[in-house]
Amino acid sequence: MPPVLNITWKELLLNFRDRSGLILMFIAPFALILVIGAAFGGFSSETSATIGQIPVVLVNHDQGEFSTYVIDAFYSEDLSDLVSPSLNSDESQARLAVDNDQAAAAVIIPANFSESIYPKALQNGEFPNNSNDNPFQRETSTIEVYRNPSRVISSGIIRSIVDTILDRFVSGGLTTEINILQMIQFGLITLDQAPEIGEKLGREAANNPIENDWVSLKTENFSSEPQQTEFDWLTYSVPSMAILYLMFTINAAGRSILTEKNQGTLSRMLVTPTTATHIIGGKMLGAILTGVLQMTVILLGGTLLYSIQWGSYFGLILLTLAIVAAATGWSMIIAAFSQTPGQASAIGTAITLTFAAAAGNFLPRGALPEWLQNASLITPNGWGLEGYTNLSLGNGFESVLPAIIALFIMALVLFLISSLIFRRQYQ
Amino acid sequence: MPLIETKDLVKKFDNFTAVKKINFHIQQGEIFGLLGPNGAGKTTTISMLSTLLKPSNGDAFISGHSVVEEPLLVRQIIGVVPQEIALYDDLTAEENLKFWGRMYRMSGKELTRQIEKVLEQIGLTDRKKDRVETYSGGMKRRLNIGVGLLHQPQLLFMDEPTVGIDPQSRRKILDTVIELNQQGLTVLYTTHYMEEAQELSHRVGIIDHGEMIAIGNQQELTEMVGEYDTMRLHIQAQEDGQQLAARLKEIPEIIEASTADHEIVIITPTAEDVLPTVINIANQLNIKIRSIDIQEPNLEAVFLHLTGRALRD
Ligand SMILES: Nc1ncnc2c1ncn2[C@@H]1O[C@H](COP(=O)(O)OP(=O)(O)OP(=O)(O)O)[C@@H](O)[C@H]1O
Ligand SMILES: [Mg+2]
Repeated sequence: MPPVLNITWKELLLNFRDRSGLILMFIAPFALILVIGAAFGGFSSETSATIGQIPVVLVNHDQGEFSTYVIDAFYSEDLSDLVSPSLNSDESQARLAVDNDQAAAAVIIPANFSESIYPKALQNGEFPNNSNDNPFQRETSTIEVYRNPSRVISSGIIRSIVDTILDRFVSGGLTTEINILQMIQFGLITLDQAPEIGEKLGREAANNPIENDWVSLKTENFSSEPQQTEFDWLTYSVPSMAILYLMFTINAAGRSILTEKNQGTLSRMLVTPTTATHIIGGKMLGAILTGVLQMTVILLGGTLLYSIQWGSYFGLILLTLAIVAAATGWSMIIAAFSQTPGQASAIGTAITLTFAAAAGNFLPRGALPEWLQNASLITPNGWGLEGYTNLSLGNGFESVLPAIIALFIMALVLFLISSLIFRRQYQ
Repeated sequence: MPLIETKDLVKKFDNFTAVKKINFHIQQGEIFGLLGPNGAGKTTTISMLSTLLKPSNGDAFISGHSVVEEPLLVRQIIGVVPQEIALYDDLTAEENLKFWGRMYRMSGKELTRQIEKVLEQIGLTDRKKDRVETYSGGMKRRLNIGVGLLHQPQLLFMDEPTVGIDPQSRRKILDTVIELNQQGLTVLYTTHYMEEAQELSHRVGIIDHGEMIAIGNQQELTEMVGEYDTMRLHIQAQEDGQQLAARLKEIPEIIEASTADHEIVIITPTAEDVLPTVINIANQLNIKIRSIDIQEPNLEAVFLHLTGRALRD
């Protein structure tokens, strides 16, 4: 085994033999993830295993025919395993059911829902001539999903079901079908032309879904604070705690340069036929492998616990490597500027906590002031949180590429600076 | 060609000079003792010879290789037993030896065989699977030495390898050094125990305040003092030492009288003759003497003669 790998192996042996180190590495972050889960998600009544038969109350204020599409969708065979819908004509009762945690969400269909899709005027044959592009004048309507904030996952599922149904109305075949029916009804086109024009309309609709926002979706939690609808504490807590504890682990690894200096083993290595660069390199490789293992365990555990869907696993792996490398760079800088392990520990803890607070490990990153969100991009935490959040929202590899590049550049710069300092100290 | 040769070796720490233009050489097959009190510059010298510290001035050559220019070549030849125990407490003896062996690019059967051999030599075979943190001080010392021997170096630096251990372990270590030397190992051994230097070394260098004040074999060194005896008075109270030493210095037959830890060391040509006078003075001063020890000329006397101080002060 070449000396560099020999040192790496020794680092791993020591790291995984140190019981308090292991607790800090794996137990503590999971404990916090679970605490956050209990505090924000009520996950005891809601683990991925119990999702299914999500209770949802449907309120239909609409007399028209199109709201029944929505209702029928909830009662369809496809969704019968997932949701357990009930109809209630009283909106306030429905909201109360959600507030009392009897339902994950209430879906409230407004009175003008059908009108917004197929205006009465058209049904009565009143054909407005004021526009060539969009011959049908419609009012907009808003379906509300009233969410139960203690059932983050299942109310999120309800929301996405409504989303999908509305998608079908707005950009999918349903409106196209209606449009063509109307056109034939009013003698604007003949039956022969229907397929061709239908296809054209459909394609237009698919390309410009925004122009067709006759129906919109409103999601509401009963808390009065404006909430980002996509933000989910449970999902967020996993990368957040993983990054926080990664920094602690990696700092300990960097600090071990000074511990070894104190206990004489660094000097002893320096009188073997091995250069200082190789010694530091071997130790850093050990730190990186330890960090990658820690991140893998925490992210994997969190993913299983909260059924997180990552947008790109390739992105996830690269982002994890990048953040571990950047964290290692910081720990080396800290070790290079410290004289004793105690000093490195104090500086390391201060930096770790400052970085975590500034980058949003303890708060949603989106809740931080704009300037702090930008300033905290000098930390691995900032880029890491942005990257993991993007991936957990289902975004693909491109969405994390900037974070990956930034983190690797950060790592490179820190490695260079600290190795210059180490070279002056040890050779 | 000598195995070690130094050329005006100097080490400065900021504006303090720890080693001042040291020149000496050690031949293949020798045990060379570097004797000196605390802070004399022994460790600093060894650190430069083992390429850990860069000399501020001058150079040293190990088997012809400059420690400044060719440190990696020098490191292939040498083994180092540091003064402070340098081991991984969380690893077992076997794991420590494996790690350090691999640092010298040893592997496979050769490594396994050497580990077994060294464990036998240092008497730790039956504890090899235990973590070092569970070892006694003496066992750690022995393993510390074992690591230095593992890769069968040509030249071994041992920096006070017996500090702070029981007489039995110490005896074992000294015997090991002698045995290894008989098998051809060259040893540079530092100590502030006169007895160790005396027993082990073919030649001794006496170092004090960063200067090599004398060098030679024991006969050559003791001849510097002449045919003088060393007399040690063990006294009850440390505080009485100065007063008694001052009075004893007035006696014409006493060349030197110096205080050390509960001891007064006296250099005199005729120990038996001055003994009654010494006891008399002690009685006059009401100082209680617990034991008296008279020795033939030795390195302690040489040091005292050269510096006016006892070796252990
Ligand atoms: N890194 C250093 N920085 C400053 N001064 C140093 C350093 N290392 C050693 N010294 C000083 O150099 C002098 C010689 O130290 P050295 O360790 O070589 O002595 P020594 O003979 O080995 O002593 P001991 O028997 O106590 O081990 C001492 O005064 C010590 O304080
Ligand atoms: Mg020393």
